Amino acid sequence: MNPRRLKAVAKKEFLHVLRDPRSLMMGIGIPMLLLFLFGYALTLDVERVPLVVWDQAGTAQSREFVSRFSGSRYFELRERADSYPQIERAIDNRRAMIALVIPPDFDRKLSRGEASPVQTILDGSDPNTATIALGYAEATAATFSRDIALKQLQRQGITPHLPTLELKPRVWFNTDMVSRNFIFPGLIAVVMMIMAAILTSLSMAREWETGTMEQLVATPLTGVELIFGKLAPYFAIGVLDLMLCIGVGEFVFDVPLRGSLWLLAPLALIFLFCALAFGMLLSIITKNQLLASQLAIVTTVLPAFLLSGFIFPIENMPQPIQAVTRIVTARYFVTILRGIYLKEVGLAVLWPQVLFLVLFGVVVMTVAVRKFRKKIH
Amino acid sequence: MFERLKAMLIKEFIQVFRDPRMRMVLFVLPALQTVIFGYAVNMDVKNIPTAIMDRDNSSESRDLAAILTSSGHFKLVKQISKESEIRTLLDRGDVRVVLDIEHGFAEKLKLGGAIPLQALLDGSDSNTAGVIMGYLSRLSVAYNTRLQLEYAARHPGGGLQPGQIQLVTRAWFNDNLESPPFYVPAVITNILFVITMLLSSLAIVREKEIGTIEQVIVTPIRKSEFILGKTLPFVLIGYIDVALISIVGTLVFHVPVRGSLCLLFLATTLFLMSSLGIGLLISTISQTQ
Repeated sequence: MNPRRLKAVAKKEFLHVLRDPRSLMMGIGIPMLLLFLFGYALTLDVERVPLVVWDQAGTAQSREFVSRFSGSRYFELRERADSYPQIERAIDNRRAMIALVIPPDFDRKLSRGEASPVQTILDGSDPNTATIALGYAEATAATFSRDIALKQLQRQGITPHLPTLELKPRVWFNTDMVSRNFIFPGLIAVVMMIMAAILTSLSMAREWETGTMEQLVATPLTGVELIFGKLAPYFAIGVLDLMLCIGVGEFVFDVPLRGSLWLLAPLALIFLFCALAFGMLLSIITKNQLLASQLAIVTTVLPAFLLSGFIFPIENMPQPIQAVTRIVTARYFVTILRGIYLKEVGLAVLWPQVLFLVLFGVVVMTVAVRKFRKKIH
Repeated sequence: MFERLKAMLIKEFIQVFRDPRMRMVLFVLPALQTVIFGYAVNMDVKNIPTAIMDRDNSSESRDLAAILTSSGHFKLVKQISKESEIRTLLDRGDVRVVLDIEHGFAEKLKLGGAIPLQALLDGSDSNTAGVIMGYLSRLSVAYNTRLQLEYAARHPGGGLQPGQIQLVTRAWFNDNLESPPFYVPAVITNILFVITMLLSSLAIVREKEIGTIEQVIVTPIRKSEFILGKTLPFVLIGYIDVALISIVGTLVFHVPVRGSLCLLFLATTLFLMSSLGIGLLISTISQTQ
């Protein structure tokens, strides 16, 4: 590798990128757009689930039962219904996600110590929220039943020594369970993957498609020099994106960076190198921009979204899919990012992930260099 | 006009389908994507890796641990005895939750009163942590109900009547609260958007970049015919993909189209028009891919 020739290619590529403000926009504007879009819009916090109540009993006790729901931060009483069609309309129009129907004999059954059924209707079209809301609803109902039973006893003058399990959950790493703290570190990986893979996948294929590759073939450049020179500006954009991501996380979204920034930075560069090398490999193999960018979306962006544990936990997937996630680079980087951002861990915990990324980068780059032929067919 | 449009369409179809790799991108990938989405996009939380630190080690505390693991939601990965292990396990992500049963659990159970049970959760995945917390609180409620019944059995004169509110639950639109019915419609939108906006915008820009647009310009074809000719193939591909995804959704994931098929395709048309419009606008404005 001759540093002078490498410099020349890098300079040419930088000029290409700088000359076209739109591709620079794509390299920086789109990642920012994604970051803000996801940072603000993508929240998984289940709070204030809209509730509609049909209280057929209308007694003091049933009203107290309803107030247990409307008073909690998990539910918000949106409207009161007095017929099933009304409930149906509320759920169809998404004004409510959960409906409670309290039967007229609610009080009577409770005071007799019988089971008192309360119909709960959920909007299952968002199963995740529905499951969590149902959990809250059941816990609320159970606490209410217990309180009633205890109150009845107290009225009779008995203080029972009833053993009660008191669950004391303590959440580590993200004490208030803010979903943004969970999503944002993973989002950095996704954004960098999109930027790096798509942009580089176009780079070499463009030379082939526009025919300028012939001119490059005529120069004394070696394949390695051409590849690395081409990657230089994208590497620079990637570093810029990374700094912007960390800055936005710090100053806009208030995501805590608990671990060391000096560990995060070099590991992020390793990941960036992997993503760039992979995009380059696609570009070299396909020699077609349309195809390369489509393949880049399918083989890097989608896995980064779906199979990296960015939102969907890997351990919930069936075994074959879990096996597939092992070759998704973003998975390792998401783990690294979360580890450094939230868990404040170092290389002692993260070394397997780092090792994989290094190996992946080296192997893919070697294949890319091998596959690249400076020849016109 | 129709003749010119026809010629243009033939050229476009040839161009799109000439490349076997392109055929794969257009038809195999959407189906594959649906399958991957179906298995990967899963918020259902099962087999939560759990560690238990049983400081009491009595038959009662082991009973509590058994209730937890037999619920199907939790999978006991490790029994630990040292406090320092908790940190390591959670740091490395080996377990999502550690339950700490304190010393004297069995004794407190006999004496009555509050028995604290500490649960340490990994909050770095806040969604899963929330679901785990829900399961835990449901289990502890069930456990308390059992304690209450046992207590009532032991003290028949205590007058404790477990009047219970039972939530009789029905989930509309998705009876078992599964993930696939939630995401299959989303996949349709996603794939349509990618195919129409991305591919159609690339299609025009490529003509400009390779320089073949000059050849198109010298033909008598009109602007509207050119644009129509460029977009119609992708509209057709869009329809085929919607059908394909619906079939995969129905057969593999049992997500039938419950409403009207006509309405689905009508809505598809509207969506295609809007996303194709955006794609065309982008491609006519910009010069590079």
